[in-house]
This record gives sequence, structure tokens and C-alpha cells, in this order.
Amino acid sequence: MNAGALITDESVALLEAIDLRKSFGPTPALDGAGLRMHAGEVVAVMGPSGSGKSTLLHCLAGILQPDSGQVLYRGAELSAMSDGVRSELRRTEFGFVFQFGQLVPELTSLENVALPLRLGGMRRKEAESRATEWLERLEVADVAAKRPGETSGGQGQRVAVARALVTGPKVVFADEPTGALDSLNGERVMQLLVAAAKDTNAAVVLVTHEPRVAAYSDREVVVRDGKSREVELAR
Amino acid sequence: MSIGLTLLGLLETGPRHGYDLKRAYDERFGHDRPLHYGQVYSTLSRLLRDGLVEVEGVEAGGGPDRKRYAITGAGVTDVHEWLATPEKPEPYLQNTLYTKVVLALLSGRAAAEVLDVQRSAHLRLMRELTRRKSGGDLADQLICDHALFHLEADLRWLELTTARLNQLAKEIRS
Amino acid sequence: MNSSDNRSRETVGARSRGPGALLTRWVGDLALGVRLALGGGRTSWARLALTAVGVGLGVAVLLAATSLPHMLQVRNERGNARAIPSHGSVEAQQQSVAGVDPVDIELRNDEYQGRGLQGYVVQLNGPNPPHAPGVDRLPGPGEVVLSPALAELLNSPGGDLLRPRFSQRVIGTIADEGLTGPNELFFYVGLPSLAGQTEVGRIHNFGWQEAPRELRGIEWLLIALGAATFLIPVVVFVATSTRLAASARDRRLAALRLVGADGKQVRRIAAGEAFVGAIAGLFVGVAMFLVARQVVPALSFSALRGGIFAADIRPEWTLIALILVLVPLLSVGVATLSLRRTIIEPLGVVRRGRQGRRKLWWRLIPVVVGVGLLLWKSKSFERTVDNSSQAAVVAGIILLLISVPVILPWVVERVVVLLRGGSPSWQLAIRRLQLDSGTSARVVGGVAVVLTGAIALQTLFIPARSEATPRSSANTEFWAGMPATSLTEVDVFRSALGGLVGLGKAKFAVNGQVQDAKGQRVNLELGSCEELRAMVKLDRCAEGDAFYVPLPGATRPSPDSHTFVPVAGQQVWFSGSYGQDLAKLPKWTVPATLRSVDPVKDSGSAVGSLLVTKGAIAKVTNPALYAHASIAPKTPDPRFVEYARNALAPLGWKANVYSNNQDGNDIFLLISRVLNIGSIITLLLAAASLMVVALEQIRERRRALAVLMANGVQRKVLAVSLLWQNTIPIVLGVVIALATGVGLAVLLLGISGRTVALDWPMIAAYCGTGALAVLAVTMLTLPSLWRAASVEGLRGE
Ligand SMILES: Nc1ncnc2c1ncn2[C@@H]1O[C@H](COP(=O)(O)OP(=O)(O)OP(=O)(O)O)[C@@H](O)[C@H]1O
Ligand SMILES: [Mg+2]
Repeated sequence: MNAGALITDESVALLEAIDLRKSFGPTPALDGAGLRMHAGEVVAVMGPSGSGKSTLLHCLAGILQPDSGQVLYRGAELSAMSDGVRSELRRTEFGFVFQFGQLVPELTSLENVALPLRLGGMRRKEAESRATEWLERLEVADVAAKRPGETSGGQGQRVAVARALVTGPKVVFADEPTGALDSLNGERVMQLLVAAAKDTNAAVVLVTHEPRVAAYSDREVVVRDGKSREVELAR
Repeated sequence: MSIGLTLLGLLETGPRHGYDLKRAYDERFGHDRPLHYGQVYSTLSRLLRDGLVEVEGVEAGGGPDRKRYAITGAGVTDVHEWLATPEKPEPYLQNTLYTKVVLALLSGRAAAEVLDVQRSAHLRLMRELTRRKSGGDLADQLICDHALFHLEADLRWLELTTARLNQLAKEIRS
Repeated sequence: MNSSDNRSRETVGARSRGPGALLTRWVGDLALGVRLALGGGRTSWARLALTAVGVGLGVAVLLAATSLPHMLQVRNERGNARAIPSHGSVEAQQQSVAGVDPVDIELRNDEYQGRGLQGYVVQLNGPNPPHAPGVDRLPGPGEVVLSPALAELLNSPGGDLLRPRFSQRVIGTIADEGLTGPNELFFYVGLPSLAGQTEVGRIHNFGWQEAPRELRGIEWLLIALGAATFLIPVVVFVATSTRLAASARDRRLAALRLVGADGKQVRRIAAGEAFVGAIAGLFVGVAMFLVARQVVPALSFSALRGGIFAADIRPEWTLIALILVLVPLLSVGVATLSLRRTIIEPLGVVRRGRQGRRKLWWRLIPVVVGVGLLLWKSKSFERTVDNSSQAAVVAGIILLLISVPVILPWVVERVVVLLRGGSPSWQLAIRRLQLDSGTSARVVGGVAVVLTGAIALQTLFIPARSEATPRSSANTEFWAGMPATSLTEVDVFRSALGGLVGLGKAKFAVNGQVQDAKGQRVNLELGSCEELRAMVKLDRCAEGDAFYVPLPGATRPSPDSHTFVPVAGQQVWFSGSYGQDLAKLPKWTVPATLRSVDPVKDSGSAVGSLLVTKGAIAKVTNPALYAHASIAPKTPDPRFVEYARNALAPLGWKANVYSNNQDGNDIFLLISRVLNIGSIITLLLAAASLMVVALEQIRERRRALAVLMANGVQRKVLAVSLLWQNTIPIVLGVVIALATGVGLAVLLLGISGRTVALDWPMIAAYCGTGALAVLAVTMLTLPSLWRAASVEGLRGE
């Protein structure tokens, strides 16, 4: 199948996980977790350490196969897609921001941001001019020529956000994006991420421990012992 | 914080004399402010009037402290509702929240429920503050930040307490 | 669809527009790989440099190997150009050449302190002698032409013992075209007369080619196995070098996967990356080769007797082209194949979890097929070899050798999961191995192949050597011999040797041959009465007597046999190197006193011979005699044999001294020499590559090591843990190498129908050397471990 065949109907959830189970050895990391989100939504995933938040995120993004359960992206099941199509999804529809490690250490910030575009076959000039726009937007244009090893954590994280957003993704997966940053930097990264996501109508899955970071979300899902749960408060 | 609901919560673990009830309360929640006997008996009589507790038996010798109180079905419902309802997020909630978590644990309920619900309520306010902050001027931002940090501190403390008490409960049970 | 949606569609659509776009994408991916290989600042460059050195070493050796045929060929050609027909075939083979005065010439094979010393003694017969390659003018009497190395040796203090043999006037040096190697000791000595020398030939021109002898089965096997042992490790090292820093690369590629590179793209990017390393390796390899080529003449002193000319080392163009294509292909192939696991895991960015277990089945394929091929061809190798079996056996050998590095990672993985507990250093080591045993297994894999080949070769050498040199004794005994044309010469020979200090037991004998008019011959032994008594029962003996020891009763020679029974007063001639013309042969009349005698027991050699005292032949002019002595010196001084040679030097270039360690079989000698050189080079290469990989391993773990050090882990613990980390795989590697090597040898010997004998001490020595190499390399990498583990290392990328 092709990514173009995906349903764009508003009534269908953009991304939906149903009863996911995943074990590493004897211990279950996910034990019937689920999630449903629509375009433009920012959903915080919270819960104690080791409860399965990252595992859930990885399953949602299709970079980890659940043992059972379904992940539907615009109505299509991720596990049924070929690796090629999933790769294409990651390149064009998904963006990733992790705590660290997602930037290619050999490439400069600019090249890192331009990378997904170039992997998609875009010409270098165009890719780099778009990348520059995003670096400017995230206020890190000055580190464009530096490698990840030569930037500060906050700058690196903004570069990562720029890279996650440069393709105009539908979903941004962020796992502790501010984990290594101080409050000011963390706030700034979150502001920029959420603002950019709102601009492009991208949904954000935001795994975090910090309530102040989670406060940037529209709602939160709690994962505990591999089970997910959403609290419905009476108004 | 409601002393009545707390006493009800304590009674959920089993019928007690008024005197026992005061001791249990002081032990768990009254470190700096122990209850007066009068407070206990007046609260109990109000609960009795509302049908939330009943007198299970009176021991020989008479006197008010010879009565054994037990929680009624209506009382259990009240406690449950109380625990399931988040407190209005505001600073210095720890007394109430702590009491709720302990009571949930004592009554065999999941303390995490209390936490999750409370977090949800806190987050709702925090989202509001965050929104206001991003739209506001510097003064607004600073004020919102202050509130946000306090709310966050509350939540974190609650998270920690839940985790600790959970651990403690496990140790006791095992 | 909103605008951003359109944009992403656009980029998706751009992929599949025509073959041109496809090509662009390919080029783009490869270029990105190149960019990754070159772009990471110091780390990338260090990695690239190590890869280039690793691949370069392999390339250099491969280039050297392809130069081998040409080198041997040109050496051979030059050797043939100065060769003369072997004795006995002179007249038959050489036409006279107009305007050339033929020379009498004899080839001398001498030794000096274990080094071969070869040359011609020549007797000019006119003003226009034939031209010898590299020699301006053949030396006349009292003159000599020397090779540069010999001239240098004679002028050096080391040549003291040689100088008495070359007292002649030096009239020139032999040019390169007349030598097989730059350090060859070769000479042309002019003599007034070669009359009486046993192997003199008369030639009109230099240049002669012996009909090449077909290789025996076992020799062919030695060559095949040797070449494989020599080259497979090279290939293994090249492959290993391309996988340097594998885990860093895996993480890098996982990051690419995360942003949406699909499996094929990542492969192409990795290919581009490996390609850069391979190309850099090619350059380094060619450079190393060119440097080595220049220093080889100085280094290859005794190798192949005379060393190797730089000019002779010329790789063959077709093979160079093959290397230039195959090395990048190999590294790209290895790089992409080893990606299998990364391909499935874009998660590698965040998790370095346990990877899938290695599978055994495909690792067993080379063993099974290899053994099958060898068994299938068994028994077809007893004498010589046909082509179809050759291909099968070579394939079998290669497969078995390759199976060692292929199986080793699996074995290491399975064994280390069984290990537990122990001291902190042990624990660090085994846990590290459990997480990633591949790198260490690869480190020792190359050494294990070398070991396997060496063990198999060694086992094959035992029967091969015993066939090549049937009888060999380990003592210092030697033989001297000299043709003599007079009794005085015989006496001079005796007294020259007899005067040596520390002579010990010497047995002299003089013999010759006489023939009758029909050309039938009889052996002649010359000796004093005492000496003759040792051979036959003599009741009386006086100077001038002659005796005949008849053959036992029934075996009287028939009239047409080659021998005759001499009778008293018979006219006979000394037969020697003067041809068949009776008029030219020294004449002798058998004394009238000839008596028949019986041999003493245990002296069968005298049977059918004429025994004469000196007096009996005193009147013969120029009798053709041969004096010889077998000598067991009392002194253990190995130079004694040189003294003996020098003592005989005044007799002109007639005497020959053979010591025991002169091997008989040239082809076997050549094979074993080449293999020796090959194994030394391979071993050096193994050590160098090991070093490269070990350094890279440390570099890659710099951060983790630094953290450990910062946490107060003592240096000793780290060092010991590193040692364990290499020791465990090498122990397993040795075990596998031992099993495979012995198995391979058994199969090969089975093929050639020979019984197996294992030289355990030798095998133990090999295994020990292999293990030591690993340990030594570990020691050598310690300084870089300290540097890596310093707090500097904490500053990560
Ligand atoms: N690759 C893996 N191999 C083995 N166990 C794993 C692996 N990945 C996750 N786990 C286990 O699964 C469980 C859930 O892990 P996960 O990373 O999802 O937790 P998390 O909620 O993200 O925790 P944290 O907030 O600390 O990041 C943990 O118990 C973890 O040990
Ligand atoms: Mg996590």
C-alpha cells in the first residue's frame, strides 16, 4: 500500500491504538494500552518510570511491533505495512524528538534538519533552504554549521524539533523532549514545539514526567503497569 | 479538610470506639494538631444524625466513650465519592491529599486513582495558566510561573507520596 | 488536504519519477554515506584512518601476492639465461656457434655459513668466449667476477672465512641481469685448466632450461593450502577493517532509519560509507606496497637465496584490476550484509538491547561443503593432480579456512552466555562480551585463520619433507670430495684435510674407474695396504700390488654386461670426463701380480672392484681419480666446515664440501621458502590488523571507559578486563583453529593417500604464538586505553 491511500476523513481518529500488548521476556511492558488522537491534538503521556510510556510511543510510531493489538494510522494498520511504507511514513508524516541521540553526530545541524527531505529525494539546495527556515523559526540559526557534539543540549533539542517538523508531519512523537534541559530551555522548546505543531495542525504525542511540560498538552493519558487510562473530569 | 469524612474513612477499616478513633486519627494525621474529644464526639453525632454511621454496640459501664461506631452503606458511598473527587487545585493542599491517599490505602482502594484524578484537575488549571502565560505580559508570566511551580510541586509531592505509601503498603501486606 | 499535506505528497511523489530520478536518489544516498564517512571531525577521521590502514595492509599483501608469479618467472628466466646444460648432455645439446670460442665450465654449489654460494669455474679456450648475462668479460686464469653481494661480503668482517677462497683478481661485478636476487652470492672464477674436474661441460653459449618437473600431489597440495592460508586471512582482515566501529555506525544508521530512511536506503548509505574506507584503503595499500617494494631488497636478505629485486616485484595488471574492483566490493558487501539487524531497528537510537541470537545453520555451510568436497576427491591425489580435482580441493580448503572466522562469533556468543560471576574485571569482560561478542570474535578471527592454516600446513609438511629428503641425520658430519689427476693431488687433498684442527674421525677413500677396449668398466679403489686390509682379506700386501674381489660365484658378469673381470697384464684405460676416445684416455696395464681376494664381512662395496696400491698406478699419467673423505669433526664449532673449505681452496676450484643441511629437492625447497615468507608476512599482517581493531575497539568505548575511571575503577581492573575480553575469544579461537587445522590436514593427507602424523610440540608452539600475539597486542593497546579512559574521554560528542 501507499501512504497516499490513507483515509483523511475527520471522523476517523488520526492515530489510534487498541489493546496493545508487548513483552520483553517475561515482564509485560504494555498490557492492554490504548490511545486515540485527532489531528492537531497534543496528548501528554504520563506515568511512573518503567510503566511503558516509551514502549507505547514506539509502538504508536511503528518502530516497535506490539505482540498483539492494533495501531491504526488514518485507519490503516501499521503492522500490515511493509517496511518501505513505514519508512516513508516516518519520513513524511511522522517526526521524532527524543531526549537525546536522534541527531546524526557526523552531520551539521543544518544537514541534520535537511536530512529527511533529502532522504525523500529533494534537491540539496531546496532542502537546506527549508531547513534554514526552520532553524530560524526555532531560534538556532546560529548553530547551523555546528555538529551535535558542538552545540548545547537546548540548542541540540531545538535542532531536533526543527528536524521533526521540517517535513510538515501529521504526528510528532516526543519522548521526554525536555528531559535534559533546565526549566527555561525546556519551556522554550515546548513553546516552540507546540506552537509549530498548532501552526501545521500536527498532532503531538508527548511523553513526559514533568507536569509543567504536560501542561502544554490538550489532555493527558496515564500509563501505569502497561495499562493506559484517561481521567474524565466532570466540568 | 473534612474531619467527618476522615473519621468515616477510618471507620471503613472496622468499627471502633470514639476513643480509638481519636487515637487512630492523631496517629496518622494529627501530628501537629491532635483532635479534642469534644470535636470527635460532636462530629460523630453529626454523622450519626446524617445516617452515615451507626452505633454497633454499647458496652457495660455506660458513658459516651463506651459506644462502638460502624460505618453505614451511605457512609461508604460518601467516602468513595470524596476520594474520587479531586480537590480544587490550590497551594498547600497536602493535608487533604495526604489524608485521602492514606485512607485509600487503608481501605484497600488504589491510591493511584486519587493521584490520577488529582493530577488531571491540577493539569487542567496548569493548562489554563500556561495559556494565560503565553498570551500575557511579563508580569502575567511571572505570576503564572509562580502558580505553576507551586502546583507542580504539589503534584510531584503527591506522586512521590503515593509511590512511597504504595511501597509501604506492600511491605505491610507482605 | 491542507497545504502541508500537499507538500509531503510532493516529496513522496518525487521518489518515483523515472529512472533518472532513481539514479539521482542512488547517487544521493551514496553521497550521504560518503559525507558520513568523512564528515564527523576528528572521530570520523580517526575511524577512516584506521579502516584505511586495515584495508591498506590487506591490499598491500594482495598486491605483493599477485607479484609473486612474475617475480618467480623473471628470477627463473634470469637463472635459466645463465644456466648451462647439466653434465652428460653437453655434446648432445649444444651446437657450435660461429665466432665463439667455447669455454669449459663447471657449476659449483657451495655454502658459506649456511648461505648458498654458487658460481662457475671457467676455462677460456680462446679470445671470444660466449657472453654470460650480466658479465662484461668472463675471467681468465687468476681472475674472478663477483656478484655485488659477494664482493661486499668479502670486504666485510663477516667474510673473513671466505676470503681465502677468493684470492683472485676481481675484474668486475655481475650486473643485475645475471643475478636472481640482489643479495645473491654468485661468482665466475677463471682457471687455467679444468682438466680432471668431474662435471665439466664445454659450452658455446649460456642459457639452458631443464624440462620442468611435474609437481607431485603433495607439493601441489602444499602450494594450494599455502596460498589459501596466506590469502584468506588477508580477506578476513579487509572484511574486519570495514566493520570497524560497527556499533557507532549502527547507532548512526538507526538515527537515519528513525527519520525515515528505508532499508534499501540505509544499505546504500552504508555502502557509500564503506566505499570511502575501501577507496582510502586502496590508496594506503598501494602506497604501502610501493614503499615495501623499495625496502624489500634490503630486507629479503636470505629469502629465496639471494633476496628479491624491487624491479621484479611487479603485480600483474589483470590481478591489480581485480583487486581494485574486489576490495571495494568486498567491503561494501560486508558492510551491507552486516546491516541485517540494524535494518529492523530504528529503535537503535534509544535502545541498545540484546540483539537476535546468531544463527548456526548458515555458518555450518562452508564446513559441510568443504569437507564434502575434500572427501569426494579423496584418493585422487596420490601421484599427480588433474584439473577438476584441483578446483574441488582448492574450493574445499578455502571453505574450511573461511569457516573458522564464520563459526567463531557463534561459538563465542554461545560460550560467553554460560559464563558468570567472578572478580569485577572478569565480570566487566564477560558482560561486555555478552552484549557484543562480535567485535572481539572478529578481532581474533583473523588470527584463528592464520593458525588453522599454519597447523594444517605443518601437518602436511611432515610427510612432504620426509619424501623430499629421504635420509637426514642431525649430526655435523660432512663430506669432501675432489677429482684428482695425480697421486700427489690425492696426497695434497689428504694432507689439507688432515691438517685441520679438531678433525676427529675422517674416512678417506680414493676411487676411479677403468675400462677395457670394449667400454666395459670396473671400479677401482686406491689405498695403502692397511686401508685395503679393512676391505678385503689379505695375507700379504706390498706396494705395487693389485687385487680383484670377484663377484660371488653365480653372478659372473656376462660378456655383454657393463662390467668386466680384469686379468693380470690386461690393457685398460682410466675412464673419466675425457669422452670415449681411447687415444686420449690414460692408459694402464693391470699388474701381473693381480690376485683374487675375498672381501671382509660388512664390506660389500669392494665386491667386483679392483683394489690397488699407489705403486700399482704410479706410472700412469693423469689417472682420473676421485678422492673423498667423510668427516665427523670433534669440534662442535659450526664454522669447522668453512675451515675445511678454506683448506681445500689452494687446490683450485676442484674440491667440494657438502654439509648435511643441504637439501636435495629444489621444488620442495622453493615451496617451503615461499611459504615461510608468506607466513611471516601473514603473521605480521595479523598482528597489525589486530592492533588496528583493538585500538578501534577502545576508541569506540572511550566514553564508557572514562566513566568507569571517573568512578574510581582502578587501571588494573580495566587492563585485566580488556585482557579477559580478548583472552576468552582467543582461547575459543585456538580450539577451533586446532580442530579445523588438524581436520583439514587429515582430510588432505587422506586425499593424497598418506598417513597422518601430528607434530604436537610444533602445533602447541603455533597456538602459543597466536595466543601470545593477542596478548601482546592487548598490552600494546594499554597506553591508548589510559588515554581513552582519562577524564577527557567524558566529553562525549
Ligand atoms: N528493549 C527492551 N528490552 C527489555 N526490556 C525492555 C525494553 N524496552 C523496555 N523494556 C522494559 O519495559 C518496561 C517499560 O519500559 P519503557 O521504556 O516503556 O518505560 P517508560 O515508561 O518509558 O519509563 P521511563 O519514564 O523511565 O522512560 C520497563 O520495565 C523496561 O525495563
Ligand atoms: Mg521512557
